[in-house]
Amino acid sequence: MARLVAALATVHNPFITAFPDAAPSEQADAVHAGFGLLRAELEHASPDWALVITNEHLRNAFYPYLPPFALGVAPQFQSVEEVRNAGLGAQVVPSDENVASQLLESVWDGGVDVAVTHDLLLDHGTMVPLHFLTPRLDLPIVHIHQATSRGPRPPLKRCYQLGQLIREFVETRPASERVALVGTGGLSHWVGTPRMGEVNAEWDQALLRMLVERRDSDLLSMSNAEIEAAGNGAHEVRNWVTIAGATRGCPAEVLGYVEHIQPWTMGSAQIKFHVQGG
Amino acid sequence: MSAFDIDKLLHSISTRPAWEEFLTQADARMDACNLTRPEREALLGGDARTLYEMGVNEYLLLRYSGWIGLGGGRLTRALVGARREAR
Repeated sequence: MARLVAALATVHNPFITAFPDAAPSEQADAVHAGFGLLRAELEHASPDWALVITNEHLRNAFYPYLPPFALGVAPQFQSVEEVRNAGLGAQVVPSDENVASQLLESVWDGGVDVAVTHDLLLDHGTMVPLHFLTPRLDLPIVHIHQATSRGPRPPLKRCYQLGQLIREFVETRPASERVALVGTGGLSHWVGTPRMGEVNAEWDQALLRMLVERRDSDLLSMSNAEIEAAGNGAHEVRNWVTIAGATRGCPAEVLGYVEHIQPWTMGSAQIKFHVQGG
Repeated sequence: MSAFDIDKLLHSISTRPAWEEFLTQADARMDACNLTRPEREALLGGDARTLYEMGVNEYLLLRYSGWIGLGGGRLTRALVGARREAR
């Protein structure tokens, strides 16, 4: 059985890298400290590959169809140039085609029909976290995109189930293999609406408490309307829910939290799930 | 017409090269999508508020706003008070 050596969750706000000097230094330092702790966790864990779960920002799928989940199967993937809105140029991220193919078969066998793509364009949902966690882009990354950027969205329970199947897959891998999981997205935020720049700190803090206290049933019982109260971007919580499913029963810890960074339009959080193999 | 038609067009021009190419053949592309005059005017005129009120997807709207130079909080200011039609 392979070892799940790290399971992490973080925001992927592109403004952190696009406008690094815009935020008050105290808040910016706190955000960077949170990412620094995540990076230390990942480096200490020394995974052979990582799975990044983020949401489809409608750069790839949308028309003619939008699958609830899409898994990238290719030796490497390209990111889109996002200099203006994320301060990041186009980059190439190595992947592991064999692992991705086997993961796909495994989750299909488990009953979640994830779509497959051989040409997944990455964006800040992946690249902002990687900018902080693996800046050399030398760790093979397997990618799952979840459809959170418009309705209908996959149910939270389905995301959680996918996480459980990911964990089961990891446990079928060779004993020497070390695996990390990273979920990116959230907290409360509004994208492209008149409320852009607001946060729902009460919702954010309730969410973090649910994760830390492992009240997974409460987490999964959130309705779409309750999530929408924290903004259309809050639906990205599904990317964290999938990690929660993969770490069922494991304690969680908030490594960094900043309530509201006005120039960056939202708050920030980084979470570590204490997996047994880590 | 529906917001889906504008969404479809915006989705197809969601990278900078695609947006720049669109600008060289905008009429033909909008003809192909059967956009109405108000939709064309909103799209080419950078009228994010009208596009929002027409129901354009917010993520696509945000990306489009970057192409037309509505960054740095200007999109939010343009949208203040805007109301969406039911979709």
